[in-house]
Amino acid sequence: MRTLIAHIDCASFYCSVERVFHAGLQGRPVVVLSNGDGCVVACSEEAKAIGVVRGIPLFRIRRLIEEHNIAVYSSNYVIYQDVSDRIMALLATFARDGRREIYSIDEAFIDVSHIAPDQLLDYGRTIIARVLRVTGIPVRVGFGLSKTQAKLATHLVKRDPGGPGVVDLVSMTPEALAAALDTIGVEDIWNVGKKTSAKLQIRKIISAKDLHDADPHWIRRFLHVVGERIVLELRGTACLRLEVTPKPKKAVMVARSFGRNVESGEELSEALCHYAALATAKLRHQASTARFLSIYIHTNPFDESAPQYANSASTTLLFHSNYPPDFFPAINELLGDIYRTGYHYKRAGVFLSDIRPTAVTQADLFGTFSTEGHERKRRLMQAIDAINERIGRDSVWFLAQGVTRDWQSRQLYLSRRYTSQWGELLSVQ
Amino acid sequence: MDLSRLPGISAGFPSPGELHAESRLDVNDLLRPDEATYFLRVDGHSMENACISDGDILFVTRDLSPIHGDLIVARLREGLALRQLQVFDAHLILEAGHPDYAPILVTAETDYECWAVVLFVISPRHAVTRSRLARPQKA
Repeated sequence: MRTLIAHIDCASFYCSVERVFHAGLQGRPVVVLSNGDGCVVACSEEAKAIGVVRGIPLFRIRRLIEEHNIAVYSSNYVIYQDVSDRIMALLATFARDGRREIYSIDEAFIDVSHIAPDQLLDYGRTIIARVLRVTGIPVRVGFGLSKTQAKLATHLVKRDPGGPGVVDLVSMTPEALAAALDTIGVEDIWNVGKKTSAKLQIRKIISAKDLHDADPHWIRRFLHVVGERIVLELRGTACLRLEVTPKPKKAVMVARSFGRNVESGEELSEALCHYAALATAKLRHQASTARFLSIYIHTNPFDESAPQYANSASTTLLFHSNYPPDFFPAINELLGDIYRTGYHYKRAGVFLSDIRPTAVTQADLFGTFSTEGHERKRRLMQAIDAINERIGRDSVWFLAQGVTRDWQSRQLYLSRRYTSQWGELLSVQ
Repeated sequence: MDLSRLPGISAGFPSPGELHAESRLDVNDLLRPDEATYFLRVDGHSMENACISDGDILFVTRDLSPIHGDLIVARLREGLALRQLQVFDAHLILEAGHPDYAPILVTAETDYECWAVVLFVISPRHAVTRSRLARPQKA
């Protein structure tokens, strides 16, 4: 039996979520800012229409905000994740045997092989209506014989803003499919990056149709098996499996800009330890540990009058861990190596890799690892994570993470946590 | 062998109710959160006549189509509003339970959407329960 895949994609997800919880935003342009309110990470169709683009710094659109009464929000990942979970749960009910891959916070693939091909368009409309009714979020649906085809289908939906929100490549005639693929550039195909599209364009492969028609063996010569797979997927041979159980991340990174200039080593240490604590929380969440640690610090490249400095340093711990204090001494040692006085630091980050499941613990050669100590740490973090989940992130933390943390960037336009805190419920008049 | 280490065996007659045990009622059976439900907080006195007070908690679902007489959360241009839905022929009227609020006749021009249908109203009746639901003071 051939596999039918649906790709579901939320339209301007963060903005749509803010719209659900704030009445009066219908038809009004909405933008959502990055973690430190620095730049735009999401904009509604109305905002795009007046020239707002993703990635633009907030200060560059101040005038537009005034002139067009744009609604501005800080990113509220607590609530975005909650709405995402609701959507993903609904989508699983539309999948054969619940086979659903959560691709990102606002995208999923589902197996729809149980649906007759001539019913797919109707099925797509049903999915859209159901998700809209239950969550208030508009979604787009694309059908294909592979994940790559399904993703191209939702890409085509975006071109037709007033349309039904569904495109089905499965029941298209070969001629219609060829015509549709001819309108898409290779750079818009899933898994085709900048480098790959450049390599293709040099060889006169410009559109998705060109790639679809290319000889997979020839493609393999310069794009290896990855490129060959893309061609096969475009032709409707599913090569990429549906990742029903999420793959643990291979690396975890937490990097933030400061709310003000930071000069002292103590504050940089607080920030880096805080980011390490956030990163290890991600590790514990996916039941894994890390051993490789890398930190970086840099000044503000936009501030041309100030002297510039940026540096990074890495080390490998003696054993795998997800216990924050195991990382703190290493962070301070690395920071001691790269910290220079006399600079205004603007951003810092922590990167953890060499990730392994928690189930595998291994003693180290020098006896610094103790099973008893490991168990104590595990139970302590379990308790801390439980408290923070219950009464709010960051209720309990390590002193090394700082107390006032006034270097943190403030989120001036933050919505409340409507679904996770009793004190922050949405009001009805 | 140390006999005192053996597990105890209970003697006597078995309870006649043993085979009739049913699990005790649990409020979670009534208020079961799912993809479509939210808890909301009443802010104001618009439904006072229906004994819904400022600070009460609403348990609502987005997965029901409202019918005549339902208590609903309406999304209006000004914000979310708690009202009773009345349906007369093809006309929808949003009726408040307080003399200060005029009924709203929904026409084609009204920016209206039924945001959710109210399933339960939870009313904290003690300072302790009220304080648990209070808004945290901004520092």
